[in-house]
Amino acid sequence: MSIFNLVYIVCGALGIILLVYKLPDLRRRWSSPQLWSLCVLILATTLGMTLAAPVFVDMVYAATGVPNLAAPIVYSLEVAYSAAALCLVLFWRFPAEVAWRRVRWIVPCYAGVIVAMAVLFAVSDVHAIRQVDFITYYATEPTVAAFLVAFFVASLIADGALVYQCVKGGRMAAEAGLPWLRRGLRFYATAVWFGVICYVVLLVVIVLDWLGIRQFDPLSTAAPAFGALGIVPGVIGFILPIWGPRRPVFRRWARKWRGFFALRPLHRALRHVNPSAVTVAPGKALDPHHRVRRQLTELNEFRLGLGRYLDEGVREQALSRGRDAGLTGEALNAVVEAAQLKAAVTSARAGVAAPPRSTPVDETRDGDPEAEYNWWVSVARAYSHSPVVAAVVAADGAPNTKLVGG
Amino acid sequence: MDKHQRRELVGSVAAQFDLSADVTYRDLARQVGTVWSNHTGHRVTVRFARLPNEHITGATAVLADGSFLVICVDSQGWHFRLQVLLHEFAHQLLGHKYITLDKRAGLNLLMPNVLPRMAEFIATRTEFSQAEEAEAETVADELLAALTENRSPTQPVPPGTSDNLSRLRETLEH
Repeated sequence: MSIFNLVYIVCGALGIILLVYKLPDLRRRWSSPQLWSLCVLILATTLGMTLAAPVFVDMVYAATGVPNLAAPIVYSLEVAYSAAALCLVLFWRFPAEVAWRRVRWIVPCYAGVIVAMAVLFAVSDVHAIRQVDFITYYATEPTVAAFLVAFFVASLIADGALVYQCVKGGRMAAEAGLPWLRRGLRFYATAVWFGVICYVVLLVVIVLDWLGIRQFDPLSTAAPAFGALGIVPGVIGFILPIWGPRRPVFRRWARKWRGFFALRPLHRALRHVNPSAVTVAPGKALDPHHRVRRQLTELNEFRLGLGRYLDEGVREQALSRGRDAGLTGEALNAVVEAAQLKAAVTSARAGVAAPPRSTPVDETRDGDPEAEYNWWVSVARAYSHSPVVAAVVAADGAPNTKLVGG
Repeated sequence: MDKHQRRELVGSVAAQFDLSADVTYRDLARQVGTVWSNHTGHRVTVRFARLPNEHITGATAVLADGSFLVICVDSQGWHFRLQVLLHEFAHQLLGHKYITLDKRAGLNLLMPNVLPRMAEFIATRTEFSQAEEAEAETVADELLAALTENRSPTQPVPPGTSDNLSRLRETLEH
């Protein structure tokens, strides 16, 4: 029995996770009927799966003393799931006011099915407790057979409609260029197919039982567990439309963390210039976008603080050595900047200001929204790793080779 | 101001900027004055100057005619200038009190060499608390993010999308 407990309880737990994830969305859009339908659908199937676990079947019996009472509860929950599924299909297909007119028929019909199943169960003679083979054990009991037929018909109609809507919606999503929604809907359809296959197998087994063929009875215990596993593609279908389009956000997030760690050595080397400028907004310590924005702002502040120590001689030497090393464009500029900053840090510590500049101030740096980030990452890499920067700073520090700007 | 109010404020202010695809930091910095002016109904004069104290990067004062004078450090990059201007603007958005200068100060603007000293004068007399500075810095940071970073995960609605598909998206994409 443990495998059935495991399957049903794990599937039920997955359903609870989905529901917990979806509830804040429901809170935000309280008046959305399709969201309500989806949440009721998840709730009903989750409770149904969980209560189908043998451990809960025993608990229901222990609590009520009614043999097999878990069976009508589980099947009623599955009928409630079917009603929610039909409502969801209608709210997807039609504007709310049109859908409501049909939903007002669906809900009483499915409530009627639940009542009929309860009455049929009440008049049935089902005293032997059957944890997982209730269906086949009592298949030849006429009232139980009617109970099961009502359940299967109600479920197959709803599942068929849901599969149709998911497939149709997937095609519309593909035509509209929404690949993640298309994939999600395909997984939803696959999840529902698990239930459809389960019900068809059970129906065939029951019909064979009515005909006196009992060899296929073991299938009736495996089929519901197989149907419950439909929650797995259901979860995938749930995740893809939500998180698929967010992949660029993850990429940017990862890239910013890489940038943060690339900038950190330079930031740490310069922060003594103006430590009071270093701040992290409350609650944003783990937001790499904020951390990098702060680093860029603070690096600019540090550079301002080092202004009087930025040596034109170091700049000329870095330009010359960089060109000799084959550097051009932004790479050359980054090496020059890194060399100036590194030499300025040494001069600032020694308290030796650079000679006044003889040439005009550099052209003000501008660019698209990523330019500043790219610039400082290049400078940070040059600061830590460039042999040209190391050579220029070493030459600048040596008394007999120190260049004097001007 | 809680984070929801701040997000709303930042969203409404950012919406007043022209954020076309080829916009640069300088374009955005230039727009700060216009948006600020639209926001207050007063002229905003932005001047860039080399400031003598490296711990002062920007200063703002109200002139006698109600217009704003913003002095910003002429740093090497427009990104930093934009950040400084947004910080100064954030004080105004948050209702912090700038100092008011007399008429003579307005005339001094005609002499560029006066700007660094005026910035220092304004900065030393402006009494923003540490909490106000931190709040302005947070708003400026979020404005900078809204203006220079695109982190929206939502896919645009393709033209001609059916209501049926819109309802599917509304249910499944959040």
